[in-house]
Amino acid sequence: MENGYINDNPLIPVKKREIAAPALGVLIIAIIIIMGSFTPLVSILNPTTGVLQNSRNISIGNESIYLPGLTGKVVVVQDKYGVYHIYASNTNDLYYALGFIQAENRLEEIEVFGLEGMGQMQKLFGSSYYNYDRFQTMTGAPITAQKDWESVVNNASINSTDLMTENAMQSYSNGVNEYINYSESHNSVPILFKLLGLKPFYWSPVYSYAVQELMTQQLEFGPDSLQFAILYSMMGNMTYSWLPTFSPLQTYYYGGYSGKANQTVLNMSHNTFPLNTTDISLAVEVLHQFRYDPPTYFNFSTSDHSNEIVVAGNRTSTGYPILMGGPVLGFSLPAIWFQVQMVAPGLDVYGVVLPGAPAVIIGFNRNISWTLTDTQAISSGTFFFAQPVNGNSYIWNGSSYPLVHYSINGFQENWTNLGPIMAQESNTAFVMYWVGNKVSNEIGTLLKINSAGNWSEFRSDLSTWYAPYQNFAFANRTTIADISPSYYPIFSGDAYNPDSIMPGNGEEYISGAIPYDMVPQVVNPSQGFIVSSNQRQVGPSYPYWFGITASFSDEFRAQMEVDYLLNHSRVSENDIVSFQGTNYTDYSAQISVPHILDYIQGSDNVSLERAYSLLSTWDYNMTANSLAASVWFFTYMYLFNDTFLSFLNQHDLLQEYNSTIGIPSGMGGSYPNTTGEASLDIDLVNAIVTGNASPFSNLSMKSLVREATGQAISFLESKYPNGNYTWGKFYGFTFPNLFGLSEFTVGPIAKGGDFNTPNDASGVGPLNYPTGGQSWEMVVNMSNVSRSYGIYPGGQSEDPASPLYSNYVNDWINGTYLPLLFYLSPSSIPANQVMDVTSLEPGDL
Amino acid sequence: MISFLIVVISGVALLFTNIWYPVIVAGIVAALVVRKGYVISTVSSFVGGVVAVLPLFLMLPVGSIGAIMKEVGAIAGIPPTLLLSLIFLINGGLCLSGALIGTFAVKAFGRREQSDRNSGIKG
Repeated sequence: MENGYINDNPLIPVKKREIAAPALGVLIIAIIIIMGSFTPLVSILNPTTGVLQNSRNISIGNESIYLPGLTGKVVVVQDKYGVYHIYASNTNDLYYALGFIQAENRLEEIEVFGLEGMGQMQKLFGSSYYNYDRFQTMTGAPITAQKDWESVVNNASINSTDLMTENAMQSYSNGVNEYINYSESHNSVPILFKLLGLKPFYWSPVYSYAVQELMTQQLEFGPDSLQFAILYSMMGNMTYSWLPTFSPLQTYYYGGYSGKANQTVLNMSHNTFPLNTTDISLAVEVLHQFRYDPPTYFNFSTSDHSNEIVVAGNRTSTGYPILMGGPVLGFSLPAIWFQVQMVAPGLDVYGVVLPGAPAVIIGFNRNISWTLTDTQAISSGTFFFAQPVNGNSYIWNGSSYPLVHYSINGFQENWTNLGPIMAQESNTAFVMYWVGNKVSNEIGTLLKINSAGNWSEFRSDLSTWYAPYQNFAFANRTTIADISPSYYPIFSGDAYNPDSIMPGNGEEYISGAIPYDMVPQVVNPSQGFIVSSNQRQVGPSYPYWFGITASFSDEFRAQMEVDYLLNHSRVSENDIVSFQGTNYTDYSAQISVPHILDYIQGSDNVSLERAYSLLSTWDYNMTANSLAASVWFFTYMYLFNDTFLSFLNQHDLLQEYNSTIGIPSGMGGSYPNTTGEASLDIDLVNAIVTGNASPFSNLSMKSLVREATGQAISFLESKYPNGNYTWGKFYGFTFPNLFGLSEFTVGPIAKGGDFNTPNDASGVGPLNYPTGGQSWEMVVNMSNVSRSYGIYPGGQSEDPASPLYSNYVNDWINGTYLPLLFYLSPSSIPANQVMDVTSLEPGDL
Repeated sequence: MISFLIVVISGVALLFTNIWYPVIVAGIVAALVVRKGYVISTVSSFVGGVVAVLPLFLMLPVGSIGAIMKEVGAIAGIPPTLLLSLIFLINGGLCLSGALIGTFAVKAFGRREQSDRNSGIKG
């Protein structure tokens, strides 16, 4: 061999040796090609198009980007806290820029949110989402989203709100899509898409309305009526004690009507339509769909609690109102909220927006502030009818009408005049009337209130709000107010309980809605404050049926907030921040523990003496280092089980209850794998206070409480024999990665609070760390909105590699609120408040 | 060294096609131009391929690369350093493959010429 040649004599064939080298080369190439075909490894590692390029997305720095859809320059300032301030010369450019900037930070989240709303999760995540997509399609949400948008487009020429909405939504969609184009041309498509080998889909306003539908589902959609019907079939009239129409404890109703119960309403609630075995089996079938087909992504807690307080100027240190908002939603990283200020001629709004929707949901502008909470009761806006059907027809008032057929997402769906058929057996169909299926434009309503200047405009704008059922607290410099605008059905015909299944043959029907002037509302109440934290808004004498107390929240948290304000005649924004962020007073403990102490006093049992010693000096604060908090919590939970589970067991209902509704536990279902019924918490505290557990137990409260207290101490000492069973050992928060990547989950982190405290956690824990809580804590100072504060647990970026992925979490845990910087022009923002500036200018990408 | 430089320069240029496989051509070209046999050709191509990736790193915000690789590594269940190494190894491997093929072509072409010459002498 010479000169590296294998064979120096070309006349002598040595083929095997000669082809070894090129064969090796081909083999290496083949291995790389095969690796690239069966795994995303080669494509994601490609130095020019793979994940390396995503490092550009998370770097912080000034830049100029040219975008073909802009008509003028837009300046985007990211302040030092990560909040985006968008300044445009017209609203179309503003919403376009919002779409672009939001997609730059949250494209994965936006797209998943849209697919979830549209029932198209299989597109991204495969066939494991078949059941979810089927159920979501069946609810009617995707169909209604399309109708919502069609309605906006069709009415834009005659309705100014629809015209504004059409422009905003189209601009926003264009902005999102321009970012998709930009990221593709810059090889910086989000990592999720690169790993899945998928291309982001282009956004359209229909997806934004699917987001609207999704939020309505999260907040106003549920099987309360099915549960009531099944319970009634088990318990008969006992159900009315189990789930009472009116709370025996609530005294504060922000909307008034606290007098004697309206007899017509009470009679209606106690007149449950009798169901046969076919109806019950259909109810169980649909209930199981609700229980077992939920989404994995954005699976918000089912017992979302929220706080809203607004204090009049005569009770604040500044002389002007203070508004506090704390909507409780499920936590995720990225969080559901994206924090922005948007400024254009006629608009200067600051607050939080959802992925996929361009309106500020909760926030303020230079004149007004507002926040939202979920309303109590009203059957979660979801009513069920047992309607006769015959082949392709449904029966209504003795006549046959053709079913309306839809084919969407590959599923076939049939609707009657009442709504979609959720289940059918022979000639009986279970039809769902869900308020979310009313064609409406809540995004448009929000866009309007973003620029409202006073209460009159705000209230007028909200008259078109249908769902979800929300309380809107309001403040400007002279007025505090609250209103719960929504489409609350009124029922005609035979007055059966709407919180159970109703006859669907025309005997009873929804004939309209409570008039807008009669929905719960209050302006400048004499006590100088308004609290609307998921408690029932109107009292028993309200002349319209307004649901029962079975829903997700007892009134204890609201009552505690009322007590706080009654005991603080003058508050500052710092007082309200401290109250919301770090006050852990449990009102149910506050009213129950003195009675519990009476029940266990004098016992010579060592455990009870220990409990008495701890509870008698307790301040009812569920702080992380409190021993008494643990004693209270577990005493309550054992008492709950000993009372209600024993009752179910004695009546041979435990198994049936478990298999259909799910075993209940106290404080909204705080034990893992249980369900919560606010009514049972009200029943139990009422029993503790009155000393009477009937009809649920024949035992005396003294006996029940002593037993439960002994069980609690025994449990705690078994877990922590050294006696160090502080509440923080059982309670804290977890912030799960939205896409199920446990490496990027934050927590659990110990924190005070429980189901009943302002900083509540939606019915989860102990040893099952809550993944929900106050998702956006905001305190707006109407003396000067620039001196407002807020925090949400998360960060502006969805990318775990970004320093802005979870940077707010620790502040949220510590109750530290960040200043909400409010500037009307980019030049007015001090340089030391700026993280970076992006200039978006008209031009080619 | 010439082979190495050819691979680095043409490798960087070919990476900008956004398709990875064309960097094979860098190895082929270097082998065809330099004609130094398998050892020199493969070593210089592999090292050149590894080095060709570096300029791309310098065009990115270097401080963020580690965080991104850590994220991808966590998702993929692969150590981020291994992922980073794979980028260099794959690029080097593709160039090396090109060098093997190119060198074979040079050799085959040379043998053919030699054969033709021998045929001519005999004729």
